[in-house]
Amino acid sequence: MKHARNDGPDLAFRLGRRVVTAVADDMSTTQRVVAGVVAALVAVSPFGAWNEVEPQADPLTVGTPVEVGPFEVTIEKAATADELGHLVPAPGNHMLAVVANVTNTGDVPEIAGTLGSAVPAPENVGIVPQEPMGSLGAEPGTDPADDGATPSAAPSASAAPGDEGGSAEPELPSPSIVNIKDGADVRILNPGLTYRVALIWEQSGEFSGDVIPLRMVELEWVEEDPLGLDDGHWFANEIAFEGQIPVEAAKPAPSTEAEQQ
Amino acid sequence: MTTLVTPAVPGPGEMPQGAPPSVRPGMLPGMLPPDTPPPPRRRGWWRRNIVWLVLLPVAVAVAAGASSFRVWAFWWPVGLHLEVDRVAVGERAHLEGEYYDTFGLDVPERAQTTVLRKIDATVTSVEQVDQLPAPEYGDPAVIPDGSVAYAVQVHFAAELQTDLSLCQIMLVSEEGTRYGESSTDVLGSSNRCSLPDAEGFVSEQPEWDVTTYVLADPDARITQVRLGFGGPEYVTFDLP
Amino acid sequence: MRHGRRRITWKGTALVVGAVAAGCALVTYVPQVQGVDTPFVVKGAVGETLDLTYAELTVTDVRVADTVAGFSDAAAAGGTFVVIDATWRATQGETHFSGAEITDRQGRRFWATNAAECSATAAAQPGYAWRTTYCFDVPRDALEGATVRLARGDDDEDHADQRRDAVAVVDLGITASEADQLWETTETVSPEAPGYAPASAGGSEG
Repeated sequence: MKHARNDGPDLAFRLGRRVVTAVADDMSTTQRVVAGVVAALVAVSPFGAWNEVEPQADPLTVGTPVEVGPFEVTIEKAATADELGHLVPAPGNHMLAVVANVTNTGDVPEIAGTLGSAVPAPENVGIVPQEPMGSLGAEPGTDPADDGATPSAAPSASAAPGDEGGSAEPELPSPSIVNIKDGADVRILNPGLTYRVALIWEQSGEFSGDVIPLRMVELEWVEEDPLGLDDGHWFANEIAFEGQIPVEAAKPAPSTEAEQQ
Repeated sequence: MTTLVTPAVPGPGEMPQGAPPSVRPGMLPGMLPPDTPPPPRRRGWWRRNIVWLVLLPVAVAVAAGASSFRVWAFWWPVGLHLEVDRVAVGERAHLEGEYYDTFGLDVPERAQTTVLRKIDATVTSVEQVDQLPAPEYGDPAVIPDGSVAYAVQVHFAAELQTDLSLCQIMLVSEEGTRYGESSTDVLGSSNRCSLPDAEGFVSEQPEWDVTTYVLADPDARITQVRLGFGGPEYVTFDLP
Repeated sequence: MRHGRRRITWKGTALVVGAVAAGCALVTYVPQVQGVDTPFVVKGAVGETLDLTYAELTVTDVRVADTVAGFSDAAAAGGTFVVIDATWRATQGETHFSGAEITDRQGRRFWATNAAECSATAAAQPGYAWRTTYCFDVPRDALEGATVRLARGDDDEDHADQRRDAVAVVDLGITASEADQLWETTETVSPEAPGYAPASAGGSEG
């Protein structure tokens, strides 16, 4: 150690090595693997590795306000109707509307699509699935193989092998969001205001139940997108609220007020 | 099974007894053996790093070039950036430039090909007018208060079926203000270069004349007419 | 030096750690967001013509309405509509005026609706003045002291498109007592469709 005075960091490095050597030297391979796994588990602990993975969804009931992201949402009722304003179902089908009072509790306006992403279409009640992308907008000749594989008539074909979506279920559409006061589409929700809106989906005429399972998704604010493309947006995360909402029988409910205008 | 980590220093009592001092096992990289003489000569930092210093400007240039596709892809094709001809009013200018035809709306064979557009244009007159002509349909357009209107007459010559979409005929003032930059004119015509009764956006005759109207500020001194098709190429006609 | 690896020295370590620390300090403490992102705010009042370099802007009138009625549709306010008439006169070239936003005293932001004949955006070219009407649905407590922010850059992403660009901020001049009074009025306003403005509304070219 004659040169100790001018190799300080070297010394620290060497000591570290020595510790590792001393520990690892006498260990069998199995012991080393176990030690490595333990070290890795300790290392991920500060990053929330032990947080509860699947929190239970809270109950969603008519008349009880719930908070999702920037919105306070109170479900008022669900109803079916043959036609709602400009929304006309295919023959045999009807429209399903969930009426809710929505308040933007934040400081900035939110686009209606953010609200739509918080209320996914109820499942297994015959909501008419979305037209697969590409069947409408695809340029001619760009991707003939894909076009041929996804005829819009066969919903099962939309989940082509290797599709990122993974599930075999066709994707259900986002709701159309209509302001009940004037019958117009809601485009933005300004802060501090409560809008009585109808979230509308087209539903198969075969549905005749008297409740729908409605779920609401927790919206999480993404300040910096890890991919760097979309900073500052609400991300629809996990199901936070879930409940059975009674459905009123078909009558032309929310569009009447609009027609008075 | 050997150790995963080379021991930095042999543990106590493990020192190899008969090994010569110059080949000590477990020497830390970079550690000077006590008896090594100092390096014979110390070259200066600039000398030692000369290769990297020379390469640094090259690396900077390569890095800048690597992101320059944005200029090419997003800025250059949108807007008028390249003056390909400049003549006086009354003289013939030649505008030539390539564009990519995505849809081939008017000429289906051109879909998804790069097309060379060649067109000759002569600005025959630029003059202020007191009123605008009645449009094909709709209410007659009036010159709004606080504006003046110019009639710009252009004579074109091009092969049949030359694409005229995105046509811009604009007046440029002394201060650089661009009047009538939009392809839609004050009368509601959606293409300044097409004849009023044209079906599509391609030329239907070998030579034709158009008159287009441009609103401008009353005190603006117009010095140029520019003709382009969205860019980047354009031609300039200087007013006397 | 040529053989083996470099020696790790205190001096070199200090240099690297110092440089990293200095870089972190620079990023953390120098208010770069302000220097780089702040727009050039031109403040004014109703009736004043503001020079935004790329355009001249005049807010000509401010009204309040419960309902805005158009040719084919009508919109009912969740709170009340602040109806703002403005005149744009572009000064450089064809310009799209995408930003329209009301800010209240609490810093809350409100966007315009494009229902009825209201516009959320406008576009104009040099050579004429273009009149447009903005309608903002705001709650009662947003009225007093509200300002409207109009610009060519849009309001998305915390005004990212307005960085280092001119922005007009016009005080609507609503006092506390006026706010109560305006809130009570139950008026229906039918905004005019955008169109050429009378010459007096916009300034002449500078």
